[in-house]
Amino acid sequence: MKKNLLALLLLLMAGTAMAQTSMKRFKKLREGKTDNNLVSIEIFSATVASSETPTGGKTVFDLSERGQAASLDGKNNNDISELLNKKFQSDSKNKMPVVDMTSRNITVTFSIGRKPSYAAGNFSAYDRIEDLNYTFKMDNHPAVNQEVRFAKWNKYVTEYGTLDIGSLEFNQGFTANLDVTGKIGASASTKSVVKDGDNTTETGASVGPEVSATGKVGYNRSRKENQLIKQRFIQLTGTFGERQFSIHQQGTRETELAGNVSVDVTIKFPPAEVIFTNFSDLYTDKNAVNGPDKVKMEHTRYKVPDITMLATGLTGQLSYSFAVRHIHKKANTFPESDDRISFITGENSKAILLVKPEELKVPIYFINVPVGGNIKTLQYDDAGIKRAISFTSYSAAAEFRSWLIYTIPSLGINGMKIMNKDISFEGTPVSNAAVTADFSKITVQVQ
Amino acid sequence: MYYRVKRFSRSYTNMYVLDSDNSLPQLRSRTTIDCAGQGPKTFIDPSFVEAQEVKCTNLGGLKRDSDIIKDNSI
Repeated sequence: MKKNLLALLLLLMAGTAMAQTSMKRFKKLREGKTDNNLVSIEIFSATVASSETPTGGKTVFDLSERGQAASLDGKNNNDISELLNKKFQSDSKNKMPVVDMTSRNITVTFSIGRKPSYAAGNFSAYDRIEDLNYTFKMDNHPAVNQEVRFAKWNKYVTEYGTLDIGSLEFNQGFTANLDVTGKIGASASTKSVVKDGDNTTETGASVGPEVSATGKVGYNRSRKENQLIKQRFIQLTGTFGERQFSIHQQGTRETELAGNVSVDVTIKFPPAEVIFTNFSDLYTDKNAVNGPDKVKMEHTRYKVPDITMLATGLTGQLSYSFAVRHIHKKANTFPESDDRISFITGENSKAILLVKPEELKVPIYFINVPVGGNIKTLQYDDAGIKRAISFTSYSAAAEFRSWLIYTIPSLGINGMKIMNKDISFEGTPVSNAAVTADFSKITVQVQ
Repeated sequence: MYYRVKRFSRSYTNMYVLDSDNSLPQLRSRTTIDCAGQGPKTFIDPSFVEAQEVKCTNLGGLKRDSDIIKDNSI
């Protein structure tokens, strides 16, 4: 009996001494397997805004306060209004200003999901994604090859996380008591106390003849760790190229990588040009209608994304690989250090529509009227080149339409000239009877 | 009337006109143009004639695809 008690005591001491600490990542690693469908990633993208870059010239706002005061000195209201919109030091006075709208700021959100199982035979609710790599690569497309590229993103700096293990205080205690009653023909009693650092072992046993034998085994062991080790891990890092970008995430204790990750990227698209027209001085300060001779017409070239080259939008391939830390045993305890695990790896890819063509479209407003069963667009004649009068906004187009309707009745048969340029509905004078018959047929349309 | 548009589409009546001419051979012969073009136009009954690549005098001399269409409305 004494041998048995001692053996039991040794077993308990050895078991406790070998007990895991919080320093371990897991207790045992089993052979892994592959499941490509365990983790899924979806992409959601939203166009935040076009990145508008006017090229060349300075405005009055670039001047110092003293310069602004000097510029505005002695000016009337009309002059001030003109001055506020004026550009100085342009490359050439005759050169049309250019606004570049071919860059788009896009927020790309990756939604990462893992399928947990709550079934007793395949419990995986407390598994976690340990490592995740995902890459978006643009498809090969003539326009893509030529012009579309990622211009910048907001993940230039690797995001590190620091796990302060030292802040985790690990306490472990174990107490065992064993009572044995029997009849044995010998009597002995022992008691020992062993102190080894923080560990205390107390053992007592007594055996008596004839009447009874009581064996009492008491065993206490306690351990306290204050760990001062810190672990630095990569929360998120990435690589960025003109045609693709990749993100790498690393998991850590009790941290599931499933969730959303957003990346702000700026994409440069192939350019098309549109010449927009801006009319000023349509009305006087007192809202009286100005004649065509007083109206000013200015043109601005806008570089806009050429959606005709990206009729199906900006498409690409999202590919990803992952490793999931699957717990086979001890999922019911909070510490990971006692887990018996295996890694389930997988990879997948899918086609993604990152930007829809309509998201790239810059609306162009213009004014139409039906003439002889054909729809004619309001245009100006620029030294023989006929250009549609295109507006950047509905309000600007509607304001000019109203002015046109007010002004047309006072015009002669030759139609209208603004700044010596003929204004017509594709050659049909604006004062033509086909136009004046029903002003409600003059409409603003958007392309 | 023939029009050179950025891209012909039966779904949209509005197309962006790059160039136009009453003569198809004349329009076809102008292969270097200002790609800012003439602007948008609404078509009632357009039909596709042919696709042609043009060179832009602007945009750094880029080449681009275009479609020549015929406006069949009266």
